Amino acid sequence: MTERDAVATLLRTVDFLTPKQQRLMTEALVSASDEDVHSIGVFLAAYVRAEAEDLKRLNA
Amino acid sequence: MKYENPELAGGVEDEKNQEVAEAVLVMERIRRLMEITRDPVVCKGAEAFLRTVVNAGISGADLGMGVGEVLSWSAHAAKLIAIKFEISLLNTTPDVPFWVNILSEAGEVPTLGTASTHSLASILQLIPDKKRMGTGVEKVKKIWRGRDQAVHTPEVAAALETFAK
Repeated sequence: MTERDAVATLLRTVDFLTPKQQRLMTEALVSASDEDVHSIGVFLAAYVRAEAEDLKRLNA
Repeated sequence: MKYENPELAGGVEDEKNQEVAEAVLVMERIRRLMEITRDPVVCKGAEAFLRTVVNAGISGADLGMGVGEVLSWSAHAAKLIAIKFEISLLNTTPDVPFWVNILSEAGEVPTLGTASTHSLASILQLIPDKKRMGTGVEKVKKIWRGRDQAVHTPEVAAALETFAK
């Protein structure tokens, strides 16, 4: 999976963005530089990973 | 395409991103908790739980003479006020008719005040409250589970793998 595709997936997963914000950011991904894509990807991945850990603790 | 800039990948910016992500998650946890506490079904469940705790306390205290009677009769008085002024929180037995509360007090006479007469109304109240508490807990679980299903998918796992350190 490319970083761009991964960011698009993570954008759809997070719930702190409204559907409109998710759509706008996904559209902006097309023209974003690799550096920007990587940067937002690291942020989103950190968020989703932390949330997954949270849920794991809650389910335990 | 995988971006690989040695100055950025795994560097200061990644650490900052990690910190910001954790800060956003803290805010998101608060927002989610607020969403849960605003949910009417959850609120009813929590109200039922509090009522059960209060009723258990009054019923326990009612086993003894004196303080128990004061608490028990205070609960009856509060129920009357709650009905008259529509203050639901004051009513510890909203699903029990008022005459049941008063009639049950007759049991105090032969037992010289040692019978926990409030427990009758408490048990009758517990029947619908048990259902409310169960529904409330299920609603909380449903809210959390919704996120669980969104986060734990093969697609998300692959996306996370892309950004694995």
